[in-house]
Amino acid sequence: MDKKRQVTKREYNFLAREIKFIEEKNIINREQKDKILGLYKRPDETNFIKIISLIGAILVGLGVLTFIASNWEIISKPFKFSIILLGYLLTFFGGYKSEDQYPKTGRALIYISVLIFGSGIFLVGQMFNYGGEVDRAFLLWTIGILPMGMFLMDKYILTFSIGTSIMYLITGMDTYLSMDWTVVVLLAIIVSLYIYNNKLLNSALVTLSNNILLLLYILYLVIEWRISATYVIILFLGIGLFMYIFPFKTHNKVLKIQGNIVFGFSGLLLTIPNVWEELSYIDTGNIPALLFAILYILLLFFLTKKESLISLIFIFITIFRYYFDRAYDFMPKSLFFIIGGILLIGFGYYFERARKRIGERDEI
Amino acid sequence: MKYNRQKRYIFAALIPILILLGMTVIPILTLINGEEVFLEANYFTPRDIFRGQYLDLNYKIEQVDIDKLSDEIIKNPEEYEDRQLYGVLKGQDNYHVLDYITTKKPKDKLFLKCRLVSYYQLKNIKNDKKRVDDKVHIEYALDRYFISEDGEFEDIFNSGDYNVVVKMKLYRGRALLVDVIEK
Repeated sequence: MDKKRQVTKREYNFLAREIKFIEEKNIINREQKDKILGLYKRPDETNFIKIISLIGAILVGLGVLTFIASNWEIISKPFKFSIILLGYLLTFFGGYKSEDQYPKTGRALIYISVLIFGSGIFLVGQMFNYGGEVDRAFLLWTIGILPMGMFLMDKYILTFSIGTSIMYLITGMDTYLSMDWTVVVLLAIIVSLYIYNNKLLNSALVTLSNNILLLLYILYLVIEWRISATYVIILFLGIGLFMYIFPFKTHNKVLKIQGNIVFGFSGLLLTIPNVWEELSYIDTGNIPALLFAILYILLLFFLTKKESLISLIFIFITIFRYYFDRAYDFMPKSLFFIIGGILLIGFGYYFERARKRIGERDEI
Repeated sequence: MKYNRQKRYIFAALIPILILLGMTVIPILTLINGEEVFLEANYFTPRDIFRGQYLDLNYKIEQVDIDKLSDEIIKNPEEYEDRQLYGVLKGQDNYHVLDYITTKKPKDKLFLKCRLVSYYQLKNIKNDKKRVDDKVHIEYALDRYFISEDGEFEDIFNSGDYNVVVKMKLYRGRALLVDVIEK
């Protein structure tokens, strides 16, 4: 028997609805309807179970983390450490054993072991009064969890390890101690994730999260190298555009959306005159900001024509950004908006008329 | 990949265990082999969301007289800002105090690893504007002492005073905080 085609729940419901409608119109008969629907794998309803178990695991893990933080004096530290080790081994082993019969609950047990491991790291830090910030703890957490996610091919564990990497990046920002380390280690994490995801896992979630990590990493680098804020924003504008125009083959939808958002925000920031004034050779930022804004809006219109919903949203955001901008007096602003709006409607009417003419010509 | 399942899971579980156990090695070595050191300090009582309530300790040896710094540091502080420095300690009365700070790892001496944090006072020297009591801020990794929520430590921070003594074990430049005692 051929493998059934996979679709999302939404797509399946749409298909079932429309096929039923077509059947009611007597365009196809019942047998044909069943045959068509039979081609598709009916997505299972058990997503809910997955979610409950995930939330349960997170709750237990957070509870353990909080218990460690309370530093309850009644239990000695070595005893607590043994409990943590034991808890980690038991939950992991329990998950491993029950995964065959109960895949979702079993996997949830393994997720708990991930969080217990984290609380173990913080416990050791607390036991031995490790000085400094928590950034090193997050690095160790990542180093422990990343291989686990790869061995178990679990996209949630990998995404969580990206989360701990981001925490490592953020909490370690002002720590002057290990900048060279951070640069190398983070790069290794990002690259290995891309390679692994491309070859083996192919998860859109991992691509999305890894992209976020990469962007934050680049932001961290340019901040460390003390590059002026204006150039940073222009850099991200370029990165966003690049992601949008040249998305990679895998998960190109994810890249397009992320790229669109990144250059949208960067462009929005560049319409602010103060941002341009950060550069030493610019006194008043009004002219560059306005010039840029015009180009930016034109680009957004162009992309909206190519059906980019996000660009359309950014057009609205930009409009409101100027509406609420106190730097412009009311009268000129009001004139600008009204005239601009009338122009747009005029354009719309002109295009509609032109298309109608072409349509009538074709009919004749 | 099914027949490999056991191996995969074993490897996956192993790495975190190794990390947890590995984290305890150096501290335990310090506890066993370290020399007991007493430093005067003071503290705040903030909270760390992951590791719980702790004392943010400020040590007398963190404020360092400029003449205790070695010459290379005084001449070129920017270069030494990112590098590991070493603070040599010596006993004085009931406590230990700072003898001097050097850029090379000392042998056969009691020392702590440290870093140069704030040194704008050194610029005063270049301008011949050195004031008598100028001190430079040095940081050692000793600033956190974790306590339980209902512990007996009250907020006693008094700027300028060092009201507690911190007992620690020192081994190869690394310290393990053992106790915080009020004077």
